[in-house]
Amino acid sequence: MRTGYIIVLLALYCGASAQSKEIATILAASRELENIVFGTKDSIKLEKLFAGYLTYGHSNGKVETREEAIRNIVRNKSVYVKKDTLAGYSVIMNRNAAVVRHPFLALEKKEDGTVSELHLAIVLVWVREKKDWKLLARQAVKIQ
Amino acid sequence: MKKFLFILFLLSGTATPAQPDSVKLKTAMQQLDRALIEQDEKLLQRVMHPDISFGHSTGWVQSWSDVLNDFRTGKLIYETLEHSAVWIATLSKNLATVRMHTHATGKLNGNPFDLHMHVLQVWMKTKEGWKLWARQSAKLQAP
Repeated sequence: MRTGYIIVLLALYCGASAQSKEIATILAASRELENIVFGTKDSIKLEKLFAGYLTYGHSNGKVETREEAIRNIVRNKSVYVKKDTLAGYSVIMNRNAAVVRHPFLALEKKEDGTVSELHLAIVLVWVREKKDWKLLARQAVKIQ
Repeated sequence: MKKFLFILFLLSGTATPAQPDSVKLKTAMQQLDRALIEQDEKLLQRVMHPDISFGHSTGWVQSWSDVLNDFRTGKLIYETLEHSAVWIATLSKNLATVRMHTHATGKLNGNPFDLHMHVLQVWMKTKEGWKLWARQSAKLQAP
């Protein structure tokens, strides 16, 4: 049994230990982030979720600062229709840091009318600042 | 007395608290490369956290036991690792995020690979020093 390693498929909230509660919080934040980035594009919520020194990485290698990421998420005119995937969210937590990995599969309808499938593997690095979990780093990878 | 101590501190020329850590971190990064290329299991164990999730640009994610297994079976071999544009994006008391461009060559299941990728490394400070705790690469077009 590896210390600090827990896999949670979808949000299995057991509420038993403090760590389970933290993991549930991290999962909820991760889901919320996905819904904002690929849906509501709510910049106020992003301001709350993003750490000051966030580096936000795209699948093409482009890395944005916190401000650039928020601006570009809000500016993004694409509409995403999410498709179900078999794999869920996985979390590894260690003290005040957590790494979440999850797939993202959707139809992307771009501003110019083109529609294409978007399949990403997303990595989220969360840190606990006082009592809140904030996103410190994000990296997306395109899955062929 | 306070003024004296303050001047003494200024003249002492000591590095800021963050610096020794960033040097130790850079050393750990170099040790990681060496461990991967030289297939040095002991060194790899020193610089890889047991909870590591090592993500490849295909989406394949390996745990510590996966990495160790592939080492021993020779499934994944790194021949060269060249990094450029390395920057320590964040550095706190026990967590660091580092980004870089990496040109890696080697063999996977006997098939040679030659990849340019963007790499995110997340390092965690433990009692034994900095250890790679998470890693993710994304494929780039060759320049």
